[in-house]
Amino acid sequence: MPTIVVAPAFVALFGPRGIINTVVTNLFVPLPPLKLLDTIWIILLAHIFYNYTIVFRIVSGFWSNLDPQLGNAARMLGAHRARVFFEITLPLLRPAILAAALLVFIFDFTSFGVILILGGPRLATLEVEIYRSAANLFDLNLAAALSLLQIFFTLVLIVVYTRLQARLAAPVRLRPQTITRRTLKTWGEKCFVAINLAATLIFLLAPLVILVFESFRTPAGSAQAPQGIGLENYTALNLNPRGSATFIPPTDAIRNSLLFASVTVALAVALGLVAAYATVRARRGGGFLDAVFLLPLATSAVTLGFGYILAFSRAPFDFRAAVWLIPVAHTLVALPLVIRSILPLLREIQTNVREAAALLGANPARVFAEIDLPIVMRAVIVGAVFAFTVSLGEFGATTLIARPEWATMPLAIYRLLGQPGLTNYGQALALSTILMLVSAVAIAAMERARFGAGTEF
Amino acid sequence: MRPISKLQPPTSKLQSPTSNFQLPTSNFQFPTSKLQFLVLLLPLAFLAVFYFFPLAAILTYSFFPNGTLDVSGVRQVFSDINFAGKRSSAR
Repeated sequence: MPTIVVAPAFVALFGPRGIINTVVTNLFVPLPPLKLLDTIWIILLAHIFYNYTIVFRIVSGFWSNLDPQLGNAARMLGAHRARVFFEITLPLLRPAILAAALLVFIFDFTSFGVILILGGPRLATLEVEIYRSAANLFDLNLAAALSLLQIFFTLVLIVVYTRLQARLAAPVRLRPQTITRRTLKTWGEKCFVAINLAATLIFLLAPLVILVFESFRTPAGSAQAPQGIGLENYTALNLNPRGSATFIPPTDAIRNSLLFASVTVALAVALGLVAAYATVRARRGGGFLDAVFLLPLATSAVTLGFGYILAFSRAPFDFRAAVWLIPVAHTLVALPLVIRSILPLLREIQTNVREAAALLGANPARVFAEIDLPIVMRAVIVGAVFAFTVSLGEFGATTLIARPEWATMPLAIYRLLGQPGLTNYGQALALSTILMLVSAVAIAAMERARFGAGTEF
Repeated sequence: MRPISKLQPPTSKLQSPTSNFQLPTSNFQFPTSKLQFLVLLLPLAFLAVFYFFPLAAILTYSFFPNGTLDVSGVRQVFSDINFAGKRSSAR
């Protein structure tokens, strides 16, 4: 889910008008609302929420293919199940756990939207300070110095991550899931998995369900129009009764978001396919290229947006008003994900398949079009959906480079959340719900395409 | 008996049966270094213009904001260990 959806979902759950405060103040004691926002705990919880799936995907993908023979041998020699886990499984999983942890650290280190909305000024991070220095205070000198610090840290992190990835590729005997999969036998195992699954589902679904529910809750206007459930927040999205200068028609925001996402998909897939192909085919320096193409993943979008302000503000590169800079920035953010989606399958293609096609007279272009492309097509689709969802939810760079007339859905949500009043709050939740639904459809499509495409995410 | 040094290996006069045979793969080549270079150029050029150039602009602006060396921004960040907290509370 985009961070700009996660933050309103947590506001709907823990905010002063959120469901928890409503329940506490209405059902128990008439106390002032609990101050749950603007605390470190809410930020941590939101980050755990949207990074949970990253860790789950990386670790479970590795774990589900671990050879069970080592564990079985230890069990036969008398080792207890816990000892097998701590002395065999866990050490084998360590590279996957470390890689996932580092990736989460990188994502959280460069997190922006959640902290801006949930953190408040007291909990500002490097990202938020760069944004404030550049966009609010116009202190570009300070913003540049902070960005420099941010770039340094993220480069160090990406070097460590690349090395861990290399260790992850070390010869660990992996087996297909048809061999490693085992059924739950005892009641204890079944209960453990059921409780775990239920807790996870509640934790992951509760904020999103409440976001949808709250988006339909209408504010109490008068005695004749009491608080209830309805579509008012959605129907009011296109209204600007006070004539606010910062008003963004949501239909325009949705159109802009979809337009930028489409261009991003086209750019990111084309460039990602070429980059992945070149990385695999490079006789030397394939690892170096891999690391270079991974670099934008570790650079925060805010830093990137600020870099665009500095780099493209002087002739002959004065592109500040250029609308194409927005999908270009989105493409840069999505490119490492697209490449990482395609690379594993491209590496799996055996040379003799291509050689057989060549022997039958196919030229290199035809070999690529009729051998390589059909094999990696699923991964390309996964990459395309990644690019689409990244573009839809991109907030950090867009907030710095987009002109008001080209505002996207995340910008519209942020502006609505920043304005006082229940109407704006309800509209922000309604727009977040729309963005969540579009992202969910894209993710569902990706999951269908992912089946059989062994991507690295 | 001939000395050993003059002995010829028995296969010396044999010709490889495939010596005059050319595989029909002659028209197929994996991307050569030139082609690889050209193919690589697209995403690398994209990265150079839209990633490394903006980062270089940040680096330059950090130390030369007005064309001359000025590290006040960097000094401001490093001289105040509680930078974020103090600035935020002041706002």
